[in-house]
Amino acid sequence: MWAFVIRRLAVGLLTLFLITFLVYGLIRAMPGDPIALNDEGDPKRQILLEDRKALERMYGLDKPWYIAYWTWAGNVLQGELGDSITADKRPVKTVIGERIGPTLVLSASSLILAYLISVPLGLLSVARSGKWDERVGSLFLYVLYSFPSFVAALMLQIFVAVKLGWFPLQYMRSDGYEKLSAWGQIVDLAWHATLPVIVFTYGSLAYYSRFIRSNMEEVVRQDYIRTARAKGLGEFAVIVKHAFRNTLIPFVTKIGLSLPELLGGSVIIERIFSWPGLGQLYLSAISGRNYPVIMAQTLIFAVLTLAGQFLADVLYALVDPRVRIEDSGE
Amino acid sequence: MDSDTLLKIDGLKTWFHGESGEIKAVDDLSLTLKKGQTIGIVGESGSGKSVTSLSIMRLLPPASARIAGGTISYLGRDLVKLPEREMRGLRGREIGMIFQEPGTSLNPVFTVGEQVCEVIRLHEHVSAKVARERTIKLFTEVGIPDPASRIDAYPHEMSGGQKQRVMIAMALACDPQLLIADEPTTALDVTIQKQILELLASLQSRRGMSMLFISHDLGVISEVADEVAVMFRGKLVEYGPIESLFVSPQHPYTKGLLACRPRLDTPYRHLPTVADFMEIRGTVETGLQLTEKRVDPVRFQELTAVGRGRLYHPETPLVTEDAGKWAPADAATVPTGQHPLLSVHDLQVHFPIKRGLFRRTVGQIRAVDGVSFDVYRGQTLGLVGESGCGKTTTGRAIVQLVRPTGGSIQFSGNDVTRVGSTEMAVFRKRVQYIFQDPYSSLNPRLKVGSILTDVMMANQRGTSKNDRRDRAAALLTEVGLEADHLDRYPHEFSGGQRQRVSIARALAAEPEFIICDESVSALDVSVQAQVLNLLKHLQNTRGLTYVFISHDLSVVKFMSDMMAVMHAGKIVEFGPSDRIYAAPRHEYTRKLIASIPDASIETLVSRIRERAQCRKSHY
Repeated sequence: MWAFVIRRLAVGLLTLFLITFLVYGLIRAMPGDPIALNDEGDPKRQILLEDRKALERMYGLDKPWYIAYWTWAGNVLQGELGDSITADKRPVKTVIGERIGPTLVLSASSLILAYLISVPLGLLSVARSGKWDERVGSLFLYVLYSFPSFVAALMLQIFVAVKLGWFPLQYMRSDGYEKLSAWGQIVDLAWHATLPVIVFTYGSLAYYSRFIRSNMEEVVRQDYIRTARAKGLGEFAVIVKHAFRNTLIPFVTKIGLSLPELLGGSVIIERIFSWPGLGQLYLSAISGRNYPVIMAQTLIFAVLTLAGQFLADVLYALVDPRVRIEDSGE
Repeated sequence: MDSDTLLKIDGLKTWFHGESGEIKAVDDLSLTLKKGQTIGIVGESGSGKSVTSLSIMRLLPPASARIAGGTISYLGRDLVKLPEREMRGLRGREIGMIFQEPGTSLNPVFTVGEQVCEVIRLHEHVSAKVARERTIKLFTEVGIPDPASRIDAYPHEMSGGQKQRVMIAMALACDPQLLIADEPTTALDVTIQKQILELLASLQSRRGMSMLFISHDLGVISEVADEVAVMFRGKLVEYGPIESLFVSPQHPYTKGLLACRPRLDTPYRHLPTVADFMEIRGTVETGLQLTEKRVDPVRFQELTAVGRGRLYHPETPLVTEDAGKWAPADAATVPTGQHPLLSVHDLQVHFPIKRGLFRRTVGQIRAVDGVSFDVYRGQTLGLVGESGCGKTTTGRAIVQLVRPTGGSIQFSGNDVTRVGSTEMAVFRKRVQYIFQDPYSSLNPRLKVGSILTDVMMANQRGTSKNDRRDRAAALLTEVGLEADHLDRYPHEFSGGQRQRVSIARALAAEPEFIICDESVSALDVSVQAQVLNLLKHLQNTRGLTYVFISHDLSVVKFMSDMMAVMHAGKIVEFGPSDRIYAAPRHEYTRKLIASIPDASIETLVSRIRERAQCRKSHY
C-alpha cells in the first residue's frame, strides 16, 4: 500500500511539473502580454518605455519564460501564488478564493443531483429494459443529452425567467442581499442558482444513467446473477444487491475522475448567468494574459485531476476485493 | 402420478425467437425423475440440455425465450404455470442448482459465506448467527478444509474445486429435494472432477435427493446417473437405464457418441464419427431427418488399420518381455543414429513476482522448471497435465512466444533461443502453432481467404496472388471445407469448422512441425473425433511432426507416440504412450489415469448395484 502511494506521488509530481512547465511556455508564447493589453489599444493610456520596463521587471516578464517558470515554481513551493497582473494587484489566492464558493455552489449541487437522479434512473431502466416506459424515458434522456446547454440556458432565461418571472435572469444575489437573514440569504442563493444548476445537470443525467445501465446490462449477463436468481432472490435483490455492487466498480472510477469538474466551472454557463465563478475568471485571465491567475488555476485543475485518479484507484480497491493496491502499479 | 415421482416433464417445448425466426431449443421432451434417482442428460452444444434445466428453474432469458408447450410437474405442481412469486419460493429451497463455471458463478464482491448464508436466511428466516453456523456445517459436509475461517474468504481466494464445493453447499443449503447440476465438472481438472463427482454421489445418497445431471461427457454421466437421456438438437433421441444405454445403445446418434470418444483402450487409429452411424438431413428449422446407416464392419476394420503404427524413440526396447504387454504388434522405433527434429534441453521459463516501491523481483513462478525431451521427424509427442502444470508455456517457449529463462531448444540442429532474425524467419516458416480457442484465435474482420494468403505472403509461399488463392482453396479442401468458403468470415463457421480453418492457416506456411495446444478441447466430442482424424490424416500425407498438448489423457494417448506427463513445471514421466497407460511408473500419472471416468460395463454394473443398495437402506 505505502509503496503504491509513494510511487503514485512521485509520478504525480513529475506529471505536475510537466503540465505546468508546458502551460507556462504556451501562455508566454501567446502574442501580447498583460502590460501591452492593459491599454486596450487606447493611445492615451500608453505608458512610457521606462515604466513598461519597470513593470516587466516587477512581474518577472523581462526574463525568458523557461527561467521565469522556475521563479514561479519556487514561489509555489513556498505556498506563494503571486499577485494578479491587474490594476488592483490583488493576491492570486484572494482572487481565486472568492470565486471558489460560487463555482462549488453550482458544480457540487449539480454533481450530487446528477448522481442522486441518474443512479435510480439507470437501475430502473435495467429492471424495465425493453418495456415501453423505459424506451420513452431513454429516448427523452437522449434528447436532453444532445441538447446544447447554452441553448437550454437561453431558453430557460426567456421562458422561465423573463416570461414567467419565476427565477431571476442572472447574477448570484439579489440587491440588498446583505440585509437578509441567514436563512433568507440561503433561499436567495438557491433561487438564483436553480436555473444554472438545471442547465449544468440535465445533460449529465443521460450520460450517467446510460453509464450505469450499460454496465448493469453487462453485469446482469454474468453467471453469478443467474446464481442469485437460482437462489430464489427477487428481482429487486438481484438488481440492487448482486448486480449494482458490481457496477459500482467502474462507477467509482467515474466519481474519482469527476473531482476536477468541481472546480472547473463552466465558462459559457457562468457567463450567460453572470455567475462570478472560476470559469469566468479563467476566461478573463486568459484574455488579459494574467499569467499568475492562469497558472494558479491550471495548477488546481492538474492537482485535482491527479488526486481524482488516485482516489479512483483507492476506491476501486475498496469496492472490488479482487484488486489489491500493490498490484495496480503493473 | 406415482407417489415416488418427483419431477415429470411432459412434452416440453422451449423456443427461442431469434432474427431468423423461432429456434426450437427443446422440442417435445419428456422425462420422469423419481425420488432419490439421478437422470443424466447428455448432449453436445446446442442439444438443449442446459435450456432444459433453465426451463425447469424458469430462469430463461425472458426477452428471447419462452416455454411454448408442455408441462413440468414438480410434486404435482406445474412449474410452467406457477406464478413467479411461488417459483421464487421453490428456487434454492426445493430445487438447488449448480453451474459449469464455479469461477464466474459466485459473486466476486461478496464472501463465500455471505453468499451461502443469503439463501438460508432468504428461505428460512433465521438469524445471521444461525445461518453462519449452518454454513460452517455445510462447508464441512462438502469438504472445505478449515470452514470456520474459509467462510470469510472471497471467491477469488479459492481454487476452482473449492469454489465448486461452495456452489454445492449453496445449492444444498435448504435441503432441496432436487439438485440440478449443469456441467458441474467441465471446467475442472480431471483429478478435481473425480473428487466433485464422488462428493455429489455421496451427498445424494446420504440426503436421498434426486439429481438431474447435465453433461456433454458420457463418461462423467456414467459415474453418477441411473438413467440417461440423450439429446440431439433439441430432441430426446434415447432415454433409458444407463446400463442398457452403454450395453446396447438403440439410437444411431448414441452409438456414434459412444464410439467417437477416444477411450484409453481404444483399438482405433482413426476414430469413428457420428456420421458413420447416421445421416442428418435438413435443419432444426425445417425439421431434422435422421436416418440410420448400416454399420459397415469393413469400414470399422479400416479405422483400426489405416495409417502408421506407433513410432517410439530409438532407445525404446520392443523385444523385452515387459514390452510385449503394452506395445502394439506394429509399433516401430526411430532408427538409431537419427537426429531429433526438436530437442528441448533443461528448458526453464520463470515469471518474476514484483513487489514494493521499486518493483523489485522478490520471487519467481517456475512455470516450466527444467524440461527436456526429443521429438523425431514424423512423431507425435503428447504433453499432458492439469491446468498450471506448464504444458502450454512449454509449447509457447518452443515457438518463442515466451522467452525462456534458461535451457536450449534445438530445432534441426540450431538453437532457436540464440538465432538471428533471418534464421528466426526460417524457423517460423517450418514451425506452426494451432491454438485452443477457434473463436478468438481467428481475426473476425478478415475473410478466410486473406487469413490463409496472409500467412503465405509472410512466409514467401506461392508465386502470385492468384497462385496463393488457388493454394488457399486447395488447403480448405484438404482440411474438409469447401473452396468457396474463401470469401466467408470466421463467424459464419461452426466451432469445428473454425478449428479446420486454424489448421489450414497453420498448413499455409507449409511447416514440418506443428504444435497443437489444446486444439480440440473447445470442441464437442463428435467434432473432436473428426478433427483428431484430420490431424492424423495430415500427419500421414504431409509427413508432419506434432507436439500435442492437452489436459485430456485419453486424447493425448490416442494421438501420441511418446508422452510426457507434466506436473508443477516438470516432466514427471516420459515414455511410449502405450507404456505409460499400461504401466504408469509415477504416482501422479497413476492418479491422473485413475481420475478418468471409467465407463466400462463391469464398473458400471457394480456402481449401479452399490447405488441400489444405498437407496434401499435409505427408504
